[in-house]
Amino acid sequence: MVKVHNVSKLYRLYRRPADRIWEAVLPGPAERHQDFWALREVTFSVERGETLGIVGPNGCGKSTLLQIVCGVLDPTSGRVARGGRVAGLLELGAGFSPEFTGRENVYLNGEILGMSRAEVERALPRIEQFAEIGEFLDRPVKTYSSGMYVRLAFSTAIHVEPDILVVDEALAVGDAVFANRCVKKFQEIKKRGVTVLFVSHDLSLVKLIADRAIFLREGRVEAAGEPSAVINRYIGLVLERQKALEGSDGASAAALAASFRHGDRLAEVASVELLGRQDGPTRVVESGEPVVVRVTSRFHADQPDPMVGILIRTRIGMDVFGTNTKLQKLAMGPCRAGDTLQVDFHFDCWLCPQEYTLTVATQHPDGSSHDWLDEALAFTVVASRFSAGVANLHARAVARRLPGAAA
Amino acid sequence: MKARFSDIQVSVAAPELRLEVSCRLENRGPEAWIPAKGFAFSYQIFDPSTGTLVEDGQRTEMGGDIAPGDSVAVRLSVPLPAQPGDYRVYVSPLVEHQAWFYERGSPFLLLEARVEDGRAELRRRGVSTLGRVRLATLARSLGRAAWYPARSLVRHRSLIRSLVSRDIAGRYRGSYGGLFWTVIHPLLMMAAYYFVFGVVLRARFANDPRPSSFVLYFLAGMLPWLAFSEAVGRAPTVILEYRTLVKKLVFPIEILPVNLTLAGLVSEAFGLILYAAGLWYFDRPFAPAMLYLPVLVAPQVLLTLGLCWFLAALGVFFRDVGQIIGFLLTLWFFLTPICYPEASLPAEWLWLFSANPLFGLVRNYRRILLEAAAPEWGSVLALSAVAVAVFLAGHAWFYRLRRSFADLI
Repeated sequence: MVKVHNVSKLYRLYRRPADRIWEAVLPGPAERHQDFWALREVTFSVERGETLGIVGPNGCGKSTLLQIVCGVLDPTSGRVARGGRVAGLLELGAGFSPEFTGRENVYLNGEILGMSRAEVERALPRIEQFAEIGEFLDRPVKTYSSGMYVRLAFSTAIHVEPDILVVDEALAVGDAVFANRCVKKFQEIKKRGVTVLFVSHDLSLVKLIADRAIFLREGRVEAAGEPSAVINRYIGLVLERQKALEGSDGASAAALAASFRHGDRLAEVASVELLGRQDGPTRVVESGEPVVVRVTSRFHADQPDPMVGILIRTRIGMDVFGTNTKLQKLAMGPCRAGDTLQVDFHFDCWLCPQEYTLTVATQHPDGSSHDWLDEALAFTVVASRFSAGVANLHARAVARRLPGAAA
Repeated sequence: MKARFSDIQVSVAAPELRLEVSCRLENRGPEAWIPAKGFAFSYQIFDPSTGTLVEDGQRTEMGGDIAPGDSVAVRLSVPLPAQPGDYRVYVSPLVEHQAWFYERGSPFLLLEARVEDGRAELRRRGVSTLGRVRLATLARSLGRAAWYPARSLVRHRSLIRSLVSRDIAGRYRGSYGGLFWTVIHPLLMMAAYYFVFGVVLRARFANDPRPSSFVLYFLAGMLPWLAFSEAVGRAPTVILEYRTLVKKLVFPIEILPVNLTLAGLVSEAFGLILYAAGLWYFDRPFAPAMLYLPVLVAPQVLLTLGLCWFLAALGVFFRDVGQIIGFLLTLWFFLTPICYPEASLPAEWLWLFSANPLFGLVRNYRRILLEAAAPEWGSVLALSAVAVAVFLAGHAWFYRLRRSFADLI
């Protein structure tokens, strides 16, 4: 159980370290600092066995809040009550020293996290098993790959058997397999009645494991409750901001972001939009959700047979799916200079949860580009069920027990 | 700004965890209380264990101007947080955007309540002043200062042991000599001093013509000094060195200086064993008097530890301490008769030099190691008194400042 009541955190920012001394020494009200409220009147509680996800943009106070919950920082005002032993995973491997072996580090780290030596000894086989680093356990940590380092650190911390586990972006590292096992581990410790608070930028992860979520913005709780509702609120804010940003840019083709743009511009892409189930542009799509990619292009020369195409790629640049109006056998007829053409691509977004990019182009029938924009837009697919890979094949599992062969 | 409270009534409204307060307030100050100028009546709830403000209450209007000497009946209700725990409530008039009356020394109504199992209980009520509250807090923290350091050492003894052994093992980790260096290091140092002082400079001590005489004299003082200066020299930077522990983990930081002190002591222990071997080699009596050493080591540890706590906290606020400490230690080294005989100190200033606690320490080490005699009990007692005082004050200082470490590094 964690109860956070009316917690605020004030940082005094000094331009120079000497100002801090002057202010302490010199009498009078001459203030040499600027007040910065990292948290403002934050109140929430998490019951035993409940998992709370904390989302919000960078610098909104998420990490400060976790540090206060752990007891690493003191609130400027307000109060935090914790029911039991707290283990904080604010930074994986904090306190590991590179010259020592994994085993030695596990011992010391376990003790630092609050276990007795005997407890560490008992937990060691399980830590070893979960970390899966084999014989490396007896080699200096400096020889580890970063993946092994993270696995060992996470494994140590999660076997401390805390009553309250506080995790800050710990799962952002490590490969998909390990992340998946961590999720399972979370669910397992949740069943044991451990209270979990975690911060993540991975919204699908929050939906997946959190019972409730809070959305922090500029140090205040902007929304709290059902994870999906809170996340929608957060996404709404992100979109709003994006729009404000685009609006200030003059919402022209110039505002279109692209990592690489080439072509003769005889037919120019004026805008690219991703429309979700709800009206209006989105950047977050539920797996399987019907979406529309709307490409608007402006023609600066007559084109007898124009062509518009889209291509979805993963974050690492693998092509996932691509199509164009020619492949779709869509006859658009000749376009003349000055025409504006809008093409909608409808599809059900059966992709696995991760980030994707959208590349769009207008092309000449021979395949040469009029206007090609790589990664014009990025979007995230979320799902309530984790699955590996790229394509969500929407599989169902069926099991039947076969009668044993008679002896 | 002065108010007088009378006819105080406080009751607990159980289901909502609410304190109902009614009282009569008299304006004892020279100026009128005018609501339009921001005068109002309210409360603040504090967490008594940390002194942090938990809640700033709703303002209650005074319902008209109150001239000096007039009084007014006030009612207000204080909703307590639902969180179980102790709360301290200050009920006082205030001037918005200026100050609370209680901050300016006016008496205020102090309530102490406990919330438990969804029920509130009023444990204390009375009129107090900020000065009296501060005095009580001070008395309590003095009590704490006496037993917290010991409690912390006992509670974390296993972690301290692990950290010290890691500190010692870590120094030579990765070198071929490994732990062997803990022995080789003091041995080489002693051999070098023997060569320089005993063989080259032919420094002799008192009437003892043997080449070993000066070296043994010098080392008897050098061994405790090294343990002391090694720990104190590292103290100002130790918190920065372990910053991840401070910022990212719930870690009892007060044991980091303990770790330094004990690591220094372990080096000294190795040195002492070698020194004893040297005494035997040079045919000097030593055996039984060595049993007195713990009498010196105890105050030495307390003194070192107290200073380490003090410097470790100071070093967080002023990083410059880390730069200047080396110079200060060198100065201290030369002000203590370690590399020169006590007799060469000017006699009329001897009282001043004796105020140096390390002087007493070094001198008694010599009595035990060189003269095989019992220590001078008077100076041991004085040293112990200073050591205990430094130990307690150092811890209190560290304990008070540690709360802001994570904000600063």
